[in-house]
Amino acid sequence: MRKIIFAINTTINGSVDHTVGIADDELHDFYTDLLNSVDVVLMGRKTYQLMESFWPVAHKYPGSTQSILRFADKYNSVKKIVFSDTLKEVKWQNSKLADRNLQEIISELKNQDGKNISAGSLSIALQLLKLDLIDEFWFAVHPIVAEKGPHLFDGMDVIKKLNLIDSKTLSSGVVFHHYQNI
Amino acid sequence: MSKLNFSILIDAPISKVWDTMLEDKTYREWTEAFTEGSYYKGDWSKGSKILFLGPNPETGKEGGMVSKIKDNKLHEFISIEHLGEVYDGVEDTTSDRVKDWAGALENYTFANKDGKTELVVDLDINEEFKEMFEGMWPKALQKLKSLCEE
Repeated sequence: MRKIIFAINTTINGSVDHTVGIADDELHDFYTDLLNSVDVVLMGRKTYQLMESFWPVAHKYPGSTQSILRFADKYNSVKKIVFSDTLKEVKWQNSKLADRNLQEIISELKNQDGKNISAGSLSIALQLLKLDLIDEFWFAVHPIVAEKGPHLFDGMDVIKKLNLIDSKTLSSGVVFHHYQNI
Repeated sequence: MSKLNFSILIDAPISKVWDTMLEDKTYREWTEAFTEGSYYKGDWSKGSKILFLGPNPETGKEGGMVSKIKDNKLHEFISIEHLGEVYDGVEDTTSDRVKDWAGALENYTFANKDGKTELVVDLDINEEFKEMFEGMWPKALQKLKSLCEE
């Protein structure tokens, strides 16, 4: 059965501010590979708006390397379901607004054949974690301490133990820890 | 290459619009519509080289345009010639990536309309960027107007 996965960049102390990490080619290549295992990404409004402002036009920015553009192609083309009470429409290619709540959409997706399902924003991951629905996690721990920004799983009040499957170290010092739900 | 043209009537004298558009502090504010963190390095005098910079949102490193002030008639007209791109300190005025639009002009024309200022922006643009700038320029000019009329 297709799995629900969640991958996120974090500093050592859990800051997930998007401006803080080391966004080099190796990191983008890793995420492109991961996104290749997925055919639908679920996200909240904030992540949608942040991503929609850059990825469709990534190729227009100086400094967007081939690795960044490969990731952009994948991210632009994958199906995206956006959960928002305020957005009236979404324009990013292959995106649509959720027409039902998260649990209903998850149970429908889980009953369909397909690749994995990505929890593509922290707000979605937090809700799914509380429901114990995430099957696998990738935490990309950047060798940085940063107080700024939101922190991983703020507002989480349960204890969840995970099983380490493997890990991978990038040359930048970023370490991907790959866990599965127990 | 095609052309884009925008105009806006601002309830402020030309000198105020000119200064607000070109001075570092307010330039950073009205150009936020293009990329958050936009600024320029250089000066606006005729013949000067000027860099229009901002962070690549994904890498955080600075990139932007390498340009030259082709003309500057105080309180009347500014013409910017875009020569290529710069990223992380390296300038590129020759690659395939930039050759389609190198030499593009971006002109600002200021006219007095009964004490108000009519600002006209016209620019050469390659098709790929057209839609993006059609969306961004009106927002940037609206911001400039509100800064001038504050």
